[in-house]
Amino acid sequence: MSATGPTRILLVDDDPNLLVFLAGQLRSDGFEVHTARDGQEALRRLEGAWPDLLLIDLLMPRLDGLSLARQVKARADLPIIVLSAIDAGDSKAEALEEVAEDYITKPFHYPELRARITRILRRVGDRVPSGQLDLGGGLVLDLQRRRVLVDEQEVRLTPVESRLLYALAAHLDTVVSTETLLARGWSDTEAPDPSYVWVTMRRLRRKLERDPDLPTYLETVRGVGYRLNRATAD
Amino acid sequence: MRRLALRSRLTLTLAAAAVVPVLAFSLLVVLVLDQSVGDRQADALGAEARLAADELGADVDAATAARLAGVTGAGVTVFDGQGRLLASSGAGADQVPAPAPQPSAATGTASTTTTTNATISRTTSGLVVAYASVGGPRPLFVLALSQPAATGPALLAPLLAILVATLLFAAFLSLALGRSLVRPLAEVRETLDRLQAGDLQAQVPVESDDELGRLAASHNRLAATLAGRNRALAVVSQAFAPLSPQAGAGAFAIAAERAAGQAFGFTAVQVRLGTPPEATPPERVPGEAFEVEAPLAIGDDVLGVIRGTLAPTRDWGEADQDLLRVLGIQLAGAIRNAELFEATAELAELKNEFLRGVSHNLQTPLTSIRAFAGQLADETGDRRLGIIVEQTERLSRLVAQLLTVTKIEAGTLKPDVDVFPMAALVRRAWESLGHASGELTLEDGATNWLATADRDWVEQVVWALLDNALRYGGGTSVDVRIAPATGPDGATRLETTVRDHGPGIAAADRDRVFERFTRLAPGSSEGSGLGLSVARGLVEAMGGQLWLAAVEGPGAAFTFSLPAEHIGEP
Repeated sequence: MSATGPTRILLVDDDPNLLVFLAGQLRSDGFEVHTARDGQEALRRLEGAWPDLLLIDLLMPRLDGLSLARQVKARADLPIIVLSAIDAGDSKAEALEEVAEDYITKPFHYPELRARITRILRRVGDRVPSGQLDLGGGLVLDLQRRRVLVDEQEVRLTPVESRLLYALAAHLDTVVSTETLLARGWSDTEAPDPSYVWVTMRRLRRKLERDPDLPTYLETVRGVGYRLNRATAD
Repeated sequence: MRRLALRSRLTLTLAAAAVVPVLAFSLLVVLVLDQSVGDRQADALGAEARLAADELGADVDAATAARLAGVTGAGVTVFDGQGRLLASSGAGADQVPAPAPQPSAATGTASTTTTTNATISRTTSGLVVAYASVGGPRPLFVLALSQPAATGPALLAPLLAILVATLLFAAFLSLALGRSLVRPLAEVRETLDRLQAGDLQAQVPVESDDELGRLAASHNRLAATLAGRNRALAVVSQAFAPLSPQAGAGAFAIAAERAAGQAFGFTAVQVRLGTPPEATPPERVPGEAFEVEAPLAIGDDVLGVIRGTLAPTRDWGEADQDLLRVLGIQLAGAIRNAELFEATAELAELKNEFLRGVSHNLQTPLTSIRAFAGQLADETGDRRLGIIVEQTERLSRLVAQLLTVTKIEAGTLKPDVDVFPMAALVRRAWESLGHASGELTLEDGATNWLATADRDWVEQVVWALLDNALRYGGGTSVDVRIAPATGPDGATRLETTVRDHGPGIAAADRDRVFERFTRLAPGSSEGSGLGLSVARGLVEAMGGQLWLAAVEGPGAAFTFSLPAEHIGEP
């Protein structure tokens, strides 16, 4: 989130109806919205001013969403959310994972989109090194690619797992409250419950820890939340 | 007839070889000894007869004969000058024939010899007789000393002993020799056994330059050839193992060239695709490098040819040619597969591209309709706008189902696993259906459990089951029951059962309900016929199952299971 003024969003979609609707909704929620009808127009607009976040449709004439996202990422680490009729599991969506922070499947509920925007902006505020984070003891976090390396073995993370790890890694060696984790992981979910965090942390430990029953990286701080530690040097 | 064992034959041969000369030699010895014993006896007897004859006086009577017999120990017979018997004494003396003027013509004599002292005769009855005459050329008397002919019976025992000893020695020799002869053969046999068992490294030590050595060497050559061919076979059979059909025909051709070079030791090798010209088989000129080739054949189709050049010193046998032909056939199959794969991948990509386009082009306007209708509904509260929103959502779910079907087919579904309470999700799906037509009874027996699955997919599944229940259940109430259940693998899953109170599903249709494009209501054109098949595909991709449950009373019930976790403690 930019320090001064409202958050700027660049909205790129070839459907004028959607552009009008979404721009209206986002503006009424306090965002500053610019629109572009295709990838090339988007690039031209980017030259003028950098937004805080991009919303990109995947299928567009002239320059499609994937190419646009790649070109943007090559120049700046801007958060990107892709709007698409394609959902996860599609080959194109997989390629997308590399360049986009999140995607939302059309048709979408506007409140869900808004929740995702908020979540991403918060996460950008978390500022985690964009590359790999070596915690020692054979554990390396590679959150941008939604994976960790345990003794050089790749372990895939689910979106929720990587969001939680992201929030924890941004505050390495510091306690992160269960409420914060809940907000990071499930902001687009109605009435989230702390048990979601408990269960997901348990699942994460099974993926990361040598002994999930005696965790060293993901430590529970009773009554408060969780802390991500570096490996103890022993 | 079975032939005797090598060792027995060897023993027999040796025994025969030893016994025959020993026997012959013994016979000779017996004869020679016999002769010399006879000669010595004759000499002694002759000398005795002479001495005795000298003692004879002018008067001969029985008493004189008896005295002489006592002195000489032989039978004594005395004849007068005319051959008339005068007196005899001693064993066999009365059987001594009269001396003949021509000794050889004497009756009853086997042979006659003359020594300086006496004339010796051997009678057919086994007597040796020495005749000595007294009184000059016209003898007054002839004195005959007779003894049974001496033979060598004493020689028989030592000879038999020698024979037995020879036989024993022959047997011992044959054992010892046989071992040294049979041992290399046993080694060859042992090595052949190992060879047969697959140990191609088994070598027979070559120790000599004889038949056995050559046998060992030729066995070793055989083993080396077999090992080489085995290696070639391994190379050929593994030629394409690291390649998947995606690699393309070119990669297979290169792999085949490399494998052929390695397997057959080609100095040059080339795969040529396309129908080969009617080539004459390459001729081999001794001392020059030569070419061999095999067609890339699939049945009667020939896709090309693989041709290799061999060094002049190389052998090229039937087996090598067969192996090259196998490589050719394999390559042809791989190339055909690669071509088909390419075509299929192109088609699949076209289909996916098409579906993505359709999906995008349908979803984009639906998104706008839904968004504006929703906005208007919020502003005006018009119930009809709510229906527009619901129906738009239904339509876009159906479009999404179509895309999902293709992904289930392609097996490319990958769930994004999240944790969530099942009951809340069911309630939300129910609301999104528009519950004007029925009533939901939700029984949550899993309040301490969270499903671990892809939230969006489970929504699709629940939506499809609820939609189904409403459509076929006659619009009456729908019961949903959620309960943990521990499976045979020890893992606990959440089982969600959706039950309607309609007519139920006929036994004949129970197997069909999960097939695609199956609509059980006759003549019904409602629904896509995809709901249950897609739901099952999604549930299975998340590690669960979806089945038609047994119910009491009317109605149908579907149950699906999903992985779950107990909430537990933080």
